[in-house]
Amino acid sequence: MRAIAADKGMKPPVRAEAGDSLIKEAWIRFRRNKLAMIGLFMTFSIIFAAIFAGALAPYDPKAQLAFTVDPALKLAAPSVQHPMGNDLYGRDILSRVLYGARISLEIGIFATLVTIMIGVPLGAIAGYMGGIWDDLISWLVNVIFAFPFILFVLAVVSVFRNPSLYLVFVAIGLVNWVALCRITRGQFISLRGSEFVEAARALGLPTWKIIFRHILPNAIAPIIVQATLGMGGIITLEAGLAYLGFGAQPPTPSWGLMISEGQQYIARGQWWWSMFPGIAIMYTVLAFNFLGDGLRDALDVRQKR
Amino acid sequence: MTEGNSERHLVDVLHLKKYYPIKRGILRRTAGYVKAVNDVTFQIRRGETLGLVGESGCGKTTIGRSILRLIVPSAGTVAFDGADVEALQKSDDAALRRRMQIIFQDPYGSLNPRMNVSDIIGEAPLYHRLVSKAELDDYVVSIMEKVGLRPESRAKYPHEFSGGQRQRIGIARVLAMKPEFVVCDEPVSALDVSIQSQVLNLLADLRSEFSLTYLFISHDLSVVKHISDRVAVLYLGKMVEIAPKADFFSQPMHPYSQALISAIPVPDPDATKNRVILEGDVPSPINPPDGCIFSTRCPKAMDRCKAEEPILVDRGGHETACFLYG
Repeated sequence: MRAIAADKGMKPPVRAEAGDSLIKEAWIRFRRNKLAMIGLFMTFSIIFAAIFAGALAPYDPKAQLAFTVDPALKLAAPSVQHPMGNDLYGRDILSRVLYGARISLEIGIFATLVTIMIGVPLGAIAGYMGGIWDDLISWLVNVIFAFPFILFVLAVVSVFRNPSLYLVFVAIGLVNWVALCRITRGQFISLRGSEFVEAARALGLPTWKIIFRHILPNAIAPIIVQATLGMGGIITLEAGLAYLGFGAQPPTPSWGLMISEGQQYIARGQWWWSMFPGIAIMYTVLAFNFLGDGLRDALDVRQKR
Repeated sequence: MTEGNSERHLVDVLHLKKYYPIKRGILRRTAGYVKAVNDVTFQIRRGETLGLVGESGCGKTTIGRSILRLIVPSAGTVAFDGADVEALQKSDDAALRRRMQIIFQDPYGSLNPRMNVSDIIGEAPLYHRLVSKAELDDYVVSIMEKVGLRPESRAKYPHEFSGGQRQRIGIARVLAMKPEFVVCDEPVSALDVSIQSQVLNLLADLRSEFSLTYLFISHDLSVVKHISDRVAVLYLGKMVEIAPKADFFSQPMHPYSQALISAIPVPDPDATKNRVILEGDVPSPINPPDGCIFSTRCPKAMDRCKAEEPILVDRGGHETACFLYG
């Protein structure tokens, strides 16, 4: 051993050829999947709309044009000036749908973060430690799974008199973590027994390195897929809450709220107030589902090129 | 431990037992035990290669993992160079850890698919400060050259290598720790026959270059014959014979060893051999037979074998647990 150390300094450094990491290979697989690429494009378009809503929206989403500009704009049908029409107060629906993307994405991203922050550590503890920890956490997961989702969120939100958006995504996160927890737990259980983890233990590596360098990177793919697929569910859940009056409050341009406000006018033929935000929700949920499915296929190590 | 023996014995296994409880019913009460390793005692001398053979499920792997304390034994002790390896579990004794390493059977499952070769080989030596961060790359290159890997491919990932190359990565990872003792757990049985001999020769070369001591676990007697100095035969969690290689293959004493050796294929169609064909299956390790554990299948079983359990008796360096020899 010492002998190697002595003579190595003489030689010029050995060049290293670039390796194809699993991420690079996954991207190659992802790119070949049409539906996945459509999902990615759709997702980017929503993110784009959310970020640049201020520049893209032709009008102020809260400006009640029926009172300030022209009374005829009250529930005006789609036109060239207002492609998605106007609502009861003359507000431009296109502008409100664009700003609505902000609310939906905000809720989706933050609720998912809360979900990950609770679900992944608890799943990891249950899976890696096993025993009493596993029993306890699995029991909690089963209890929450058995509870009607929307009721639980409603209960959490209604405890506080003043429903704010922060409360909504914390509430959603508090119930939504269970699915992620189960997946993480399963991954940790199977990886804990794998030979490369045993090898890491034989090498005398500390537990934190085994968890963060050896188990987590191999468990991350299903977690990402589940989180992405969960985004669609969270966005629908937020719309449902807003529809019931527990989510975003008027005059916030929330898609769920707009559907709720416009629903009574659908039967009278003034469908645009509810329909366009409805389409926006569908588009967003589809986008995340396509993306999630594509990621699942791309990240699946068993499926080689 | 066995006092005064640490000079010759690098590894001292004393009355090692590993019982796995079988849980039944909703209350998960223990209904019995799988006696994977049942009171095994043996020593490995410094610098030798002990071949450990036996059928699948006889406890070979459990013994290997217990020596490294990757499995906590139910009873018995393992001493490495005079120190009880139980310390490994309590305090993560890094120095002891480094000195004993393991090469795994499955070249696909034993490498982290998310780490490149450089990280796989270099992570542990860096953590244990065997090398500094600045020297690490040169160190990895030198180790890869030692095991016959192209150092240029050190940024690549395990899935970009063949089975034999992956096994070399596993060997490099072990070598980088500068160990004294290596458990080779069926290191070639997952490889193609053409690759097997390359990896075996590599292991033999490294053994002499770095004066390593091996516990070589295998179910393949011809592989063991190639690399071992002594051979130990395990049957149903018990040691039935330990002997120097030459003695073992020329004069196997235990009827089970005789059957195993007679089953080695001979590359000569005209060779007439008296094959000892064993009747029946290996009994369950949950309920091993009374008396000699081999008595149910032994062609030479006597009444005494069903009643009494033979112990391993040393007859001039050739140990057997069989009543045929008194």
